[in-house]
Amino acid sequence: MVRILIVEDDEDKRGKIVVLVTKHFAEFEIIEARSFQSGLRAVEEDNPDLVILDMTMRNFDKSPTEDGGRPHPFAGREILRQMKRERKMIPTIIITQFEEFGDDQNKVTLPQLTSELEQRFPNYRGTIEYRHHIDAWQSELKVRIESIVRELI
Amino acid sequence: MFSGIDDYRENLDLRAIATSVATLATHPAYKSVIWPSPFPRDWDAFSERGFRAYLAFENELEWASHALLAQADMINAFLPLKAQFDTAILTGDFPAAKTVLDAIEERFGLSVWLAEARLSYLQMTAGFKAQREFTRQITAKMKPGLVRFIFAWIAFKYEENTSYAQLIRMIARLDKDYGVYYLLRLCMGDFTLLSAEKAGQTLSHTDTLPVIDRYIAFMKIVQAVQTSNIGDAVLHASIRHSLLPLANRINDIKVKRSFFASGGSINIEPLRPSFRLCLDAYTRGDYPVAQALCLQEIDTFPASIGPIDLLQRSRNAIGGLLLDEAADDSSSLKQEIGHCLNETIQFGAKAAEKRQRLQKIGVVYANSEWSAGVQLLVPPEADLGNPLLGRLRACYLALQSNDDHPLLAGKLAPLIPADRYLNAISLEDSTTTQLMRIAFASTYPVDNIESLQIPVSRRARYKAIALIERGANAEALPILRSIYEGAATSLDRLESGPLLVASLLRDNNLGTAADVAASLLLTSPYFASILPLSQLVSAIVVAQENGDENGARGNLSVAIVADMYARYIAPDQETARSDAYKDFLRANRVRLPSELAPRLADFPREEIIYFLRYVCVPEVMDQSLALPSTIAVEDERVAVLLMLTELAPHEHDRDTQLAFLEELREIRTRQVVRDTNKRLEQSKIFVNVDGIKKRVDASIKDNWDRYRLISFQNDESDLIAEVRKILEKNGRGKIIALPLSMPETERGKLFQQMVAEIRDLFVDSKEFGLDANLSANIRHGYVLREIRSPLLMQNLITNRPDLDKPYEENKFWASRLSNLTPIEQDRLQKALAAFSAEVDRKIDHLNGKVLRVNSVAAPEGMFQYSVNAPQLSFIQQRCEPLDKHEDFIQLLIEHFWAVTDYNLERVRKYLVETALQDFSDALDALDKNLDDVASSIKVTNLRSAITLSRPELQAAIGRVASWFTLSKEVDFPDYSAETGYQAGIETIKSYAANVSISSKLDCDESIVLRGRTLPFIGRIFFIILDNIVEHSGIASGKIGVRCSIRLDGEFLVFKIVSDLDAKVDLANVRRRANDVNAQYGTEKATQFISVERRSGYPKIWKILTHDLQVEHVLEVAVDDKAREFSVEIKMAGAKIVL
Repeated sequence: MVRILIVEDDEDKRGKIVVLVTKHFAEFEIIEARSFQSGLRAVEEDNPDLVILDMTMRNFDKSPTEDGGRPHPFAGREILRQMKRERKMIPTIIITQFEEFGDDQNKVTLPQLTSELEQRFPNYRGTIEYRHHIDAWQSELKVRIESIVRELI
Repeated sequence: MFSGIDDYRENLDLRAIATSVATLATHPAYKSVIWPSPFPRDWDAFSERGFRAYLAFENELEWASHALLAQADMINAFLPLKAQFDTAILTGDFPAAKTVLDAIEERFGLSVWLAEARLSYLQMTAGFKAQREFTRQITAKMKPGLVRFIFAWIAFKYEENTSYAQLIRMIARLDKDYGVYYLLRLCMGDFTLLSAEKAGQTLSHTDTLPVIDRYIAFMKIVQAVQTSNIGDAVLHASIRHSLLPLANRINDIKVKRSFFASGGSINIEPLRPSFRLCLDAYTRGDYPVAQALCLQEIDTFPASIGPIDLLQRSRNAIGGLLLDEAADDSSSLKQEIGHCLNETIQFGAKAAEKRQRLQKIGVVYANSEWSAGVQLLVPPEADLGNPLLGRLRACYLALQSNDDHPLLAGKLAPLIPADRYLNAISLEDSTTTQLMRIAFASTYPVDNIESLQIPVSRRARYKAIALIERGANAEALPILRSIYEGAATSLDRLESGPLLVASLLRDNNLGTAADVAASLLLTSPYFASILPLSQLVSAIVVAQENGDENGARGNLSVAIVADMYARYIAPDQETARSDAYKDFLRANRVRLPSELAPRLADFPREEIIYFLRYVCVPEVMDQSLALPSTIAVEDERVAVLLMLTELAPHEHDRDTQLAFLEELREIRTRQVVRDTNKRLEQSKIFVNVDGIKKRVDASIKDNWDRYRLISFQNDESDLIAEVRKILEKNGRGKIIALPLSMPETERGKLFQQMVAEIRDLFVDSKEFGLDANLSANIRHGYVLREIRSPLLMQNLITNRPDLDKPYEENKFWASRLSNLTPIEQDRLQKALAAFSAEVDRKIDHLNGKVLRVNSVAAPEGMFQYSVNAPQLSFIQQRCEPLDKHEDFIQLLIEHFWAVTDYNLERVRKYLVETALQDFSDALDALDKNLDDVASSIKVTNLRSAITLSRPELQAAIGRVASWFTLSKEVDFPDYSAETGYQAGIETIKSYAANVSISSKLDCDESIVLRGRTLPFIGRIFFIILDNIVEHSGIASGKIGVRCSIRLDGEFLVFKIVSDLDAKVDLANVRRRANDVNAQYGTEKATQFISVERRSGYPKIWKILTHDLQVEHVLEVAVDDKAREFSVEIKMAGAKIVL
């Protein structure tokens, strides 16, 4: 069984990704994480076969008593970096709603970021742009997951 | 005519430029066309229009050089005066500076150089205020154009709080496609790589400048392009060709040196014999002689920086000057430079600060004769990360030096072979010349150094430098290691340290490089400015990512190096630090720093203290998977601080101990306030049960007794029949017993009436009931601010000045999206205003319709308390066994709590499903509407803000939902009055994302309040602070709030004073204040207890009168003069204060 980890702090977006995965890949086991840290923990402890990562997230899972800690504009990249450091080369797809990342001092555009990810991380399998009111991301994500599944098999 | 010259210029052959420019520049009809304003007399007389197109670099160079050649006499007249002024500023001879400036203005008119010189003079003599006034005056006169643009930047450079790094960062944001960018960077004293193409563009912009400025800019451009294109023989031939006439005509060491640097043959200035003596004495290690000679040299050649540096080094070598002695010796720039150098040479505690000061002096006075000498001594830290750029910058600065001397040989080496330069400046070889020749001229055998009569450590160091220059790093390494480990003096060791680290780095020996670097950094953080930390850290990161063993993974020294790098060089690059933190813990088989406690003695004491103090900080530890929340991170920091207080030496470093204790205190306070707020949030659903019980006790008792009697009569009917039989048996005859009972319907009505009475009190009582508390604890401000906060944080919504007014313009996005057309801006504002309205409409709907007790007036209200017949019957059955009315009341209250619990579950579900979806839909709609505002690329930032707000909004609604739980039986501990206030201020700060609240508290620490009062006191502070944010008139920026809490006899007094914005109508505020004072606690005001979007004072009255049950007086006031609003509450302290 393929274990897919979805790391996403926007519950609405995560819910839609889960629905899509459930619909097209019913046999997958889905693991969900809601922050940079819980995503990293899931990568290290749950041994997923495939990871879908948001790029910008808070440090901790939010709750009524936890404000989430500081924001990480490049949380997805950092998780990829930690995977590389720990030799966990799990195929990873980035799905983001942003076209630019970072603050004024360290602003990076999406094409610049994807180019960097391609160069640095062999397990990076591309970025999908997500928009709440446009459905194009769904077919794109499905195709990418299928491609990775073929790799895994 | 201008256009004609433009065409002519564009088509002019390179070989014809010299003759043409010479002719045009002297021709009465054309000279004002090719140089409209060479010596302007008014600040508005600068030329605005240059030539139309830029030509190839060699053409622009030839044109500019011959245009300047035509002014050679004026330039030759100007340069000595400029040198006099620069020297006067350096030595603090301000009257002379003023005289020279006036003379220059008189003869050469106005220029950017003159404006800058006046600024530096004013800074020295009259301070920043006068400097700003001067800037204001002349920029008001200048027409928009290049001169004003450059001067605005120069004025910014002279500002008190502008750092070198900040200045360069800001310039770097300009568009690099245009020559103006390069011109500005060079004029501001920075070095930038300059291609021939950009140099051509840059030169073309100088044609509008006055002669003085054009010459200065011309030289900088030429020097930058020379340095940036070292191997380009064709380019250097062009430079040689164009500089030749200038080098021959203009008496400037710099133009001659540049000509020489591009291969030209010319006599450049020989080394001054007197300076040579200074250098040789120092190089030989004869420091007392060097000191004496340098003092003479400084007197004779006051603008020469080399002797100042040598003097400090000589003094340090003989231990002649302690830092303290020099501390006050900064009455002139020259003395200040000496003092700063002294501190850096000794690697003193303030060395980093003094180094920054030197850098600032170097850049601020970048156009002075002596600036390059200063800048060469303190290269920017960025050069350490890019050694090639560093070498080129040094070369560029060396070209600008006002002295020629052997020490420049190494700096100029990339451009001028050391041998060629040393031959040109030295009539005969001195010791220093020989040393530099061996170090930097590769044709000389390194072993020749052994014959030089110089100190052993210097010989060894220069031998290592010579080997490195020749690419023999492996041979240099043992020499440097030997100096570092066996140096006779600690200064020798420290001086050799950076060279050793660089050499180890080249050798890819990262572990040892990190060890040496960490050791140096612990000696003085100044080493962060002079060690190649960027290179070292990035090499470690790459090695570790690639699984290279050289990554020194798990070393304590790597953590120290990474931390120093993050703290001093690249604050945004902290991943190496958190990696090093995790690796070190993992290498020692622990998950948390506090688990190291039993093993602290295993590590070098100084290093482990540093690690715990600076690396084990929340922003690093929060990367650890062992700490899953902010609270866990904070708790671990407390544990680390407790370890540090044990570990750090008490007796030697009291300040450090105090710093640990202060940090502990801050964390504890934060934890208490956070805990308090958590408890407050858990106690929002509140009913004053004691109040209800007291209120209904008498009436329910009567009704309950009647009800019980009826029940008794109905239940005992068989007994009455039995009594009748007994009486008849006893001969009393036929007895008719009439039961004195009420009908069953009457009994039911009575029961229903009692239930309704308690329910109404439980739900609707303004004093005790749920709805009034929902209003005060949740609906009043809390829901609104909680949900608006994440949207305000991203500037997606604005406020309305009043409920019937339109939303304010969204200035943030108007300015951030300044690339929108006016029509697009209009659409954007409409979309954002519609979004603000939609969000507020939804919040109003929540507050006004949903989060309410269900009634005819609020049919959507989710708090349902109607009791139907089956429910009543059920309650009645449960009451049957009860005797006492108190038990009956208790049972009913329990019943209504159970109903409340059910209602709360519905509310929570509604919030996290329906309401969340509603707000998400509003964000989706805004996102979609942006498609109609402008093209996607133009609104990228706004879309990012929408995306960022989504999880925050989800969390905010989650937090609101979490309030709808039954209050736990919280036993509030007694608390300081300060905690109550801080709880209120923290809540309001987290909500008021658009303003910053600057709060000052004056509170006697001994005032401790009873625990049970905490939710009420916290809410009173919140309501007052919420009013301040709402009504201060300050929509963005800082609101000042001052609070005093004191005891006045038996009374506890709170007074909160807040700022009112300048645009607030004071008469109106005063009127409202009078209304509050007149109506406070009256029937009229209490009608608004359960009403939101009205004054919060009825709620304060309700809390004080009914929840806390204290007598009190509240008074609000307006101070017209100070524009302040104040609220003072004086309350009986007995029930509140411990």
